[in-house]
Amino acid sequence: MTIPKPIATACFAVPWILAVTVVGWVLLRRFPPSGVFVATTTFTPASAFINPFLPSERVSTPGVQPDGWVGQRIVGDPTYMTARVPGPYDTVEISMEFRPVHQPLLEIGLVKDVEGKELDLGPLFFEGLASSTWHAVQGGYVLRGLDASFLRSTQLGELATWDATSSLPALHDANAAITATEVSLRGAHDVYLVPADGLIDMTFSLQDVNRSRTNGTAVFRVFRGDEELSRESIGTGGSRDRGMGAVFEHRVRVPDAIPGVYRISFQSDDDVFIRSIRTTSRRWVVGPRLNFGDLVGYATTTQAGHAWTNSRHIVAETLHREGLQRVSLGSVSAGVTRTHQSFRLDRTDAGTTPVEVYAPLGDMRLVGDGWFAFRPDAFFEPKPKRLTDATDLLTEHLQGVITPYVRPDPLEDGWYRAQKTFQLDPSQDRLRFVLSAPGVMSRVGAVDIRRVTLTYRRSPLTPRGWIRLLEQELRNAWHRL
Amino acid sequence: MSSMSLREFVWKVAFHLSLAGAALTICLLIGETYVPGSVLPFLDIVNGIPILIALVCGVVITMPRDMR
Repeated sequence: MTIPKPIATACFAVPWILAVTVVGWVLLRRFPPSGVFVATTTFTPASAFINPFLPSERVSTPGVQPDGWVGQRIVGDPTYMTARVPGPYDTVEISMEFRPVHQPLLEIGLVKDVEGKELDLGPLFFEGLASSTWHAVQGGYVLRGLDASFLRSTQLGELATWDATSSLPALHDANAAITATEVSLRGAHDVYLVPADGLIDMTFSLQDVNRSRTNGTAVFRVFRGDEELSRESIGTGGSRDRGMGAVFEHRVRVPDAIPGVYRISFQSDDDVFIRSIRTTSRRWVVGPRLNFGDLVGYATTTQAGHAWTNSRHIVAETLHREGLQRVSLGSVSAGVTRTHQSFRLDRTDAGTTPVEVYAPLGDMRLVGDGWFAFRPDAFFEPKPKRLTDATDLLTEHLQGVITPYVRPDPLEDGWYRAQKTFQLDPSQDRLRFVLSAPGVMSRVGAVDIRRVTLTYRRSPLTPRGWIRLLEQELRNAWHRL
Repeated sequence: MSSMSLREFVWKVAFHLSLAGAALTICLLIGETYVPGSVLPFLDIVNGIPILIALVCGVVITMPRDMR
């Protein structure tokens, strides 16, 4: 049998046509003309573009779970998921089908830099706002019967914030005598205060207890709202194994202070102590972090950590065996029995006035959802309290939440679908998403994830856009070499 | 009209098929090397590449000299 050469030649061309077709198909998948690329996974089988959640000790093995559904169960906090970026895109939308199990609050974020230090974390789910009692308005959520103007209320005790800022009240007080407060606070603190007779005047007594340096530094930054008014770096001294550094003073003064809430941000490491604070302000608070230090090397007595707070939820931790003690918050208390471990105190009362927080041995780091004052008459709320996983909106008499949070779509059997969009750096090859489920382990809770979809978007391709895209791809390839 | 035998036709089809497959594979590998993730996730051919290369070599080596 013989084959005519024209037919044979045509047959020889078929494999080459197929090869060119495959290359063209790959190019179209790699550079979709619509500018939209979608990757989705249920974690089984494995996806080339989306990896399962890690670390392994905080998640289950992806696949069929014990109760029959397919996906991955998260039992620890935080967890992260990496994704391969299929080229230069402007934004990525992550859509997740999840089911919270005894977990009232979830947040999701994207690590924005290569070093992993910049995290853009935002709301994903809050059980307290799932009820129809709350309705969405511009700027957040309010109870039925209220409108969006309530979120601008000056009754800050009835508001909470979640990943949002609020406008600060224009407060001012009459002239007051200087008051001195003996404290023992270590490290960075934020002090919020109200001007007295048009003046902000606060003097800090500081001591650097580090015995292996002589050139410690600290920074004082002064803000009115979000506007930074001043910044000053100071040397804190220290000593070369000759005992504690000498106590010295630093004064922060803002004359002609217009009404408002001012913040003095003291930034230093934990080797610098604040030993006392003198001020003309009648009202001033510290928070949300309050770190009671000890008096070792400063005094022969022990100074208890004592303050008044509107916090309803506090996390306490000590780094020293000398700090092991029972800490009380109003009528609740918790034994801090191990160092380097967080212990929660959650109020269950419905009171609205500040309560006492007491650590009899000091040496305790507290982080609350509210503010701390060292005298009950000095207490005020500079801004609404933070929404946390322990917040009970109704018990705490909250009527509004300032937040960009969008309620997820409810699906069947307790499942939800939520989306969040992030801006992308076109040079990123890999993304790292972080899922935060605070308190999930102490609550013996979990978050079930059954589907994740990433939708990458950029402008539809034009000839000029194609060229720019190729240039970006070549730049990325060059940086990888 | 000139023609070729069936045997020669079959060998040459196999030759072009293998050569085109090898050229395609090399193009895709070069693309994946310099732009990681640009090719393989779409094709998932990682496991097939050694087989394809072996097939090409086998056909080229065994093809009669007058057929190449």
